Amino acid sequence: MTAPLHRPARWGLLLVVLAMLAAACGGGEDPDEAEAGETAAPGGTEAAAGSEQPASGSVAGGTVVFGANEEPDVLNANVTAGNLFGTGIITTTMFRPAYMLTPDFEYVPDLIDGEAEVTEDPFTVTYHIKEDAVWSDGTPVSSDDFEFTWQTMVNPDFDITSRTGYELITEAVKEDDKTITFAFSELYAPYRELFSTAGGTGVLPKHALEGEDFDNVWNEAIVNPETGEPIANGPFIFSEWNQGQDLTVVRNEEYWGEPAHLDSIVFRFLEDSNTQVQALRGGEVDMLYPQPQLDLLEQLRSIDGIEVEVNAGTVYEHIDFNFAVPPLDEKFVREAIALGIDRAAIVDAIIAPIQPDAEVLQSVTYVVNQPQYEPHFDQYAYDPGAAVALLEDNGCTRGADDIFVCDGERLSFRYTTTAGNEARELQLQIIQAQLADIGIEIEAATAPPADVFTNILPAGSEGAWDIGNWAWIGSPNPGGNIPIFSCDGDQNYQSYCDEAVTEQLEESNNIIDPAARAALFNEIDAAIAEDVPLLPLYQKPTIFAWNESIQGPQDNPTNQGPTWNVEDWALEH
Amino acid sequence: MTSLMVRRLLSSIPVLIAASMLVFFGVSAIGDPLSELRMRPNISETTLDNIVERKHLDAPLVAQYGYWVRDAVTERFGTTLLADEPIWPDLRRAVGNTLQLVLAAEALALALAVILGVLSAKRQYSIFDYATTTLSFLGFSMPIFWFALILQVLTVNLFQATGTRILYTSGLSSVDPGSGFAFLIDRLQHLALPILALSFVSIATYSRYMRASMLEVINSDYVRTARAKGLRERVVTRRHAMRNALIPVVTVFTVNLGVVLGGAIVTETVFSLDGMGLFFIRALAARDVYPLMAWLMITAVLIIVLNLVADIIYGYLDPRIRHG
Repeated sequence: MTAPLHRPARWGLLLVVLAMLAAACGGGEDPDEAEAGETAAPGGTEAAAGSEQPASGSVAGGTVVFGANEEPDVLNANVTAGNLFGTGIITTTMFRPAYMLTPDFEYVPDLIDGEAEVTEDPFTVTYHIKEDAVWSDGTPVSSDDFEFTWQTMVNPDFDITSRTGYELITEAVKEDDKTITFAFSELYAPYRELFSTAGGTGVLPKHALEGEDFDNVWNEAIVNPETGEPIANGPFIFSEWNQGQDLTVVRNEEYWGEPAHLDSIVFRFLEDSNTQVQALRGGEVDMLYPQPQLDLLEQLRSIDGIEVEVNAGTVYEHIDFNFAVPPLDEKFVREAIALGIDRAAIVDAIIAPIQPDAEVLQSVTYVVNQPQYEPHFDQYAYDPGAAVALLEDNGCTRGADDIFVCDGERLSFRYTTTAGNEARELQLQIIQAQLADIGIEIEAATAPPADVFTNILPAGSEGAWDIGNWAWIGSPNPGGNIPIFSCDGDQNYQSYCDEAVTEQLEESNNIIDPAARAALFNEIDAAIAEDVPLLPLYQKPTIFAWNESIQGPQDNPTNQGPTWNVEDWALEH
Repeated sequence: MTSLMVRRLLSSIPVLIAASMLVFFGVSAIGDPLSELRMRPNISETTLDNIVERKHLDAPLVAQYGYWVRDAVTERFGTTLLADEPIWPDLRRAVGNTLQLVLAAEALALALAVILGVLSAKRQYSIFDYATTTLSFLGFSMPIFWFALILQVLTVNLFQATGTRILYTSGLSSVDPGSGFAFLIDRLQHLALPILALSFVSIATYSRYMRASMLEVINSDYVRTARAKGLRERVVTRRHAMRNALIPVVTVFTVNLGVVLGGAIVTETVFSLDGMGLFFIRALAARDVYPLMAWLMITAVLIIVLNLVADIIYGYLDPRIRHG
């Protein structure tokens, strides 16, 4: 006796109609405007395939769907608002850098023909732009573009993320269309980082952007503002951005390098890690570059037909000692703490399940996967006996509660780190237990990240924290260490000051030769390790997973990101 | 009826003003809106200074509130903190998408719940009644995010087993959704799982209320009188009993809409749907108070409007309200 429910049914109908209306006014896209034919159905395996054969076992054409963790606010990767890793992953498919930063941390000339020529006094850098390098509209990439990029980067009217290096340039001399020399006011050793696509878009097209308000170009599309046509010098060009959903780049038919195999790449924005896994399982996306989480990795590894690559990334965790808080200014106290922490156990507990070959980081200058890496901190291998002996030798005695007292000061320290970070909280517990064994008390002092970085760490000289745990981002150029370890460095939150180290750090700016530079930086690293103002722990892993039907992906754990070689990606037969 | 609506509309103005103050001063109490940006090493002092100037962050709080209200009214909530991008286009898109999801889920929930509630009441203590009761308690106690994840896993398993894609587990549409009917089907394939996840709790809630109020009504004197007049059971149920039994359900429906909008935050996050939930989560993650405040205001407006709609429905169901 299911009576036809007239009235409620009518109300239901009304709601459905309202829903439809909402769909009509809020759908956000006009289906007619969607570019049919450019992209195939989600799931690279189902994608359309052409007949041309660019590489053995693969076919030309097809679409790969990349499940991206974050959606950019704007696409201009050079301005502050566009300075997201998620933006870089997309723009790297469209722009080529002067030097490509490879997965093994090497700089390889890309848009330029051979290494740039350098003179030391005065410091000049001469780029020979590749003869066949052109923009997607056919205009050659020229010395005008290099000059324009420099001028844009230093223009105070624009909200440029980083002007580092560009601001030292005093003059640009164009020798011809493809040769340009920049003169610098002083030596700038990491010049290979200029015109980079890691955190920028390399070189800018002067003919398209001259006279434009750079803060407001490429917000929603990477196109020539005048013609509305896509503009790029990389293997792909911009096609379409359905905000909130996906962004598509298509093959640049005018690309001057080896043409891309794929027709298009779709970046589909999926923020939830469980959803990412299900989308990969179900073929709705073909690749993921997720945040490193153990349970996520286990799920990824359990999916058939998925390749998973795990690498040590450039972000490294470390424990810092605040020199403004006695007795942490005493070297033997820092040494005892360093010897009393079993870093290998921390790596085993936190990182090894994700990255089985992970090792303890023993340098604050280079990461393990860099060829210049030297393990200077390995002198602090876990040795609780030595730690206790060191404290006793320096006249410390155990109090009634078993905690050491040195010169009237009880060895009890606050341990400041960001709350809500599971790995850091686990680290804290391990360290707390290990140091308790050698008679040092650790009190948890976790705080929200914003508070830690804005208020607590910078107030180190006022004693706002004792021991801190956070992460620095490593780079092929250890020059980033200058503000951290110089006596008056901007990021020297711990009041560490070794005049000799500061002097050597300053001297590093004057050394261009990579080998000599690495040697000096390793010397500095050894000196820092001797002072032990901090203890490096490990590098955070990166995870890259893709459908086996795609050939060519290779993770790039540097800040260049996983899309550094998109032109090599191809679908299998 | 018209005067009722006018009264309700007028009374919602002070509610909105109070809401805007609560939203602004509440969000301001969280602390420095720039704290998250200050953490990012690549953001220069100049950028921060520009934001302070642009957003009048150095002005007293009351003046800041004034600037914000001005922007909200004349500039459609103004721009975001860092990117200085207009908030409204993103929010409007999100509201549209969320309304699609929420209204479709609620329509489904109401339709099913009314049927289930009426049948349960008519067949009290039958196996059907017990089964519905069990299912609704399951619906109450099941966390949406878990249920949503299970739906995703089952859908993918089904896809892997059959090789045919019936439903999608994330997003609002395919990359190339087509147009017209194809677009609609594609949208349905994407929205089916979130609608199901979101409506489950509502079905449980409404069907319980429907059952209870239906039981009360079918045992009342006027229904007995209707039967005594010799009316057919169908007519008694539909015309006399159900219509009255619906009134408490409408009340619950109205109150529940806020809960459903809240549930949409979870559902949209799990299914990566570009709606108000994800908009809220993103604004929160970026610690950008401006879209956050816009979101809160729009939600307040939506709740007020939906309450008004409920009042109109009351009037339709109960002539005493209409003519009162």
